[in-house]
Amino acid sequence: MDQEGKKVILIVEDDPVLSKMYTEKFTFEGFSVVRALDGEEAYKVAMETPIDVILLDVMIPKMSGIDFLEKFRKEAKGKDIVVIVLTNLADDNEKKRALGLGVKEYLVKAMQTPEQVVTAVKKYLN
Amino acid sequence: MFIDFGVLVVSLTFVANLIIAFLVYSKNPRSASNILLSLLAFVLMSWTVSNYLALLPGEEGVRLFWVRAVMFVTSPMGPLIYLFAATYPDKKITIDKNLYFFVLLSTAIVAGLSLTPYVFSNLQNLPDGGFTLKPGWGIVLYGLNLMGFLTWGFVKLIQNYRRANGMLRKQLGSILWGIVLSFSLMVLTNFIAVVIFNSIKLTFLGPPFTLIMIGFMAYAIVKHKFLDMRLVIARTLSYAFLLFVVGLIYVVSFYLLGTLLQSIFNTYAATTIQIIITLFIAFTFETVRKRLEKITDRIFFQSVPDQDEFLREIGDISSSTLSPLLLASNISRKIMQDFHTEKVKFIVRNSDNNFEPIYQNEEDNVLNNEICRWFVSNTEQFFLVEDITDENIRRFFRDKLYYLIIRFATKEKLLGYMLIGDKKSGSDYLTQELSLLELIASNISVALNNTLQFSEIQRFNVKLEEEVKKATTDLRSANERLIEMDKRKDEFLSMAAHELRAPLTAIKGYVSMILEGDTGEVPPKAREFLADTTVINERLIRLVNNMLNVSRIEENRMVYQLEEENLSRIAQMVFSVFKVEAERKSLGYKLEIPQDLRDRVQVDSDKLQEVIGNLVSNAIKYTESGSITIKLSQASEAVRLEVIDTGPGISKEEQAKLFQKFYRVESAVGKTTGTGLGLYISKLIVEKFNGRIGVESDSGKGSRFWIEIPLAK
Repeated sequence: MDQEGKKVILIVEDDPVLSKMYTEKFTFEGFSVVRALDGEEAYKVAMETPIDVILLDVMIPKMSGIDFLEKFRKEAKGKDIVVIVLTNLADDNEKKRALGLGVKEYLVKAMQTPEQVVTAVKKYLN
Repeated sequence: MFIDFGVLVVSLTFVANLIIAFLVYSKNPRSASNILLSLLAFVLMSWTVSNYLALLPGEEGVRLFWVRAVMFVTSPMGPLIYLFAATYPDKKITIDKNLYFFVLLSTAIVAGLSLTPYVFSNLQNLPDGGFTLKPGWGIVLYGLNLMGFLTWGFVKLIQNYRRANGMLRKQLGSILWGIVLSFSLMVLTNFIAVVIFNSIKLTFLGPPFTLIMIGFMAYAIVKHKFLDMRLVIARTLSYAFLLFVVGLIYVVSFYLLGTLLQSIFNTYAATTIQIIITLFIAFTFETVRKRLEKITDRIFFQSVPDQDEFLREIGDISSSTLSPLLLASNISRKIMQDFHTEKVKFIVRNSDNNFEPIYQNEEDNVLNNEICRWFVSNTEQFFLVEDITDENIRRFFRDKLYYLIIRFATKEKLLGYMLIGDKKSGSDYLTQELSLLELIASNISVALNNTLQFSEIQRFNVKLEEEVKKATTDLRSANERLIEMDKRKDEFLSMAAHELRAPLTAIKGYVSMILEGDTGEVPPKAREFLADTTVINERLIRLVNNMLNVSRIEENRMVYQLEEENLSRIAQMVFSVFKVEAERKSLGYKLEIPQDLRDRVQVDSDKLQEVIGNLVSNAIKYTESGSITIKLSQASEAVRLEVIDTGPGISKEEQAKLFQKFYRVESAVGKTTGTGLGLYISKLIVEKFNGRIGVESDSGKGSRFWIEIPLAK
């Protein structure tokens, strides 16, 4: 939650077009959006800013989404944050690891409209 | 004194020649060489006698008679030497028929003339006991006959000696020395001296000179197996020894017993003793003879193998092994052992005109090209070397001291030969030995054929194994390459699909956001175009999913996120996605969900969405007019979803192939878009949820695609 009472969402996505798209959508839906383009940036931002929910892509440079999550979960800040994985990769191992780290949903980007993603996020925030 | 010594020598010469004549003839009465030599000895023998009688002091008429007898008896001497030289070592006289006739004629004429006054017309006694002779013109013919043939014989012998090698050469060497020496001397003392120098003083030396020849012959017999007479000599010696011993026993016992008994009984004892001793010797003679024979047999290796035992043992060997090498060596060694042969060579034919020895106990280079060719052309199964008609071949084998040849063959082909050498003792093989060997020839042929075929099979097997191994290795590496390629293809597909998804997501997302009104009011036309865009984009997404799925399915990496879901909700989502498309084709489009439907299922909703989407998309694609209905219903412990269309339907034959990979319906609609993977993957996915998928249809009557998913427990 930020000053204006909006929920803060961290969108971790390395593709600039998609990053913009989700940012537009969530902003339109009344969220406050912070972005990270890679795993290291994600960690930095997550530690510095108060976050309510994370939208996490797995295939990102510098540190993979899951590695970031693992690291973040060890922090006090990161223990309980709602995380939804939004990826185009459906790898069994990654999925297992993700679910093991308390990820609420593992969504495939190409199968969801932005509207559907918003619905999923809202579901877990309440 | 002179005469006494002379008598001894004459007797010795006579006996020696007699023995030679007898032994040589009886050794092989059918051989020309033997016959000629025997005749020669006989001539010399007769000459010894007549020469002695001529030299005895007596009336002139009588002496002349004996001189003429000498000439008569010696007229065949030159010719015989020549004939022997031309024939040995063959068993038949092979000189030109005309020449032979000439030789005989010459001998006959000279012999005849000898008895007439034309050779020696007159004899005059001399005071010292000798005599002088007056020769006539006939003596010239006699001289020609004697010296001519003698010289020719020498030349022939020398020629043969030069040409020969091995044992034959050694034999001829000895014989040559013997004949040349003795006959030259004989001619000198008994012809030249008499006719030219008119002196008979040295004629008494003539016959004894023959002992020189006999001496060399004896040496050749013992050392060089001349005429193969070693055993005969041995046997004769042992027999002579036996007689000597018997005689000795007789004399000694007669004397001892005689003196003993004489002191007790009267003179009748002498006769009685004689009878007793004679009877004793008569009874024991046979036993002693046999014992002596056995001893000489052992010494001179002449024992015949027992027929039945031999055959049985050969049979055992033949069936005991499948190796040609072992068969050959065992058989050969058995023959060498039982028949006391010097050597055996077992050869097999390996290709066309090539032979190779698979057993031999002596390396003697028999297998040259000429011999190999002869082996191939020959068809006799069993024959003695001496019976070979080709002279060169016969000589060749005799030089190498082979006695007997056996040919191994089946009806179809020549397998090989066995060459059997002379016996160690040098004597001929007995008839029963030869028939024994002939008997086993066919046996060995069969056994040899078996072993050769077996080793052929083995070689083939080994080769086959190698080929199989090679093929397997090839296959294995080909397989590995294929797997590698497949993996890379899959990796590529995965990568490609993954890469393609991002842009597709962007398109999907933005278009969706616009249509949802996030950017404001959308004009109708824009809305229409964006709707089309959505449809086409979804198809692309589905395509990419299919590509990904295929590779994932193959790799078994399909990831299923199973959750409890209401099937109706998924159906609803699919329904709304295709609404636009259905309306564009002006098809009726509805979703039927009954009330109180129990539809809680355990599925991966994304995947199931794909499946239902696939069915609906197909229905729309193949239906030109009419309607599409998505209908849910209850099945036992399951929920059923049907996609019903009014399209052209699917024939029974095609129905069977529908859910196969890459199968696409050849429909009248023509356009065959899609990869043909849809139904195949749908089936896999549905079955993953323990569901079933199928179709009810008939040509021209539309189609009803259905899936049934069991309810979640």
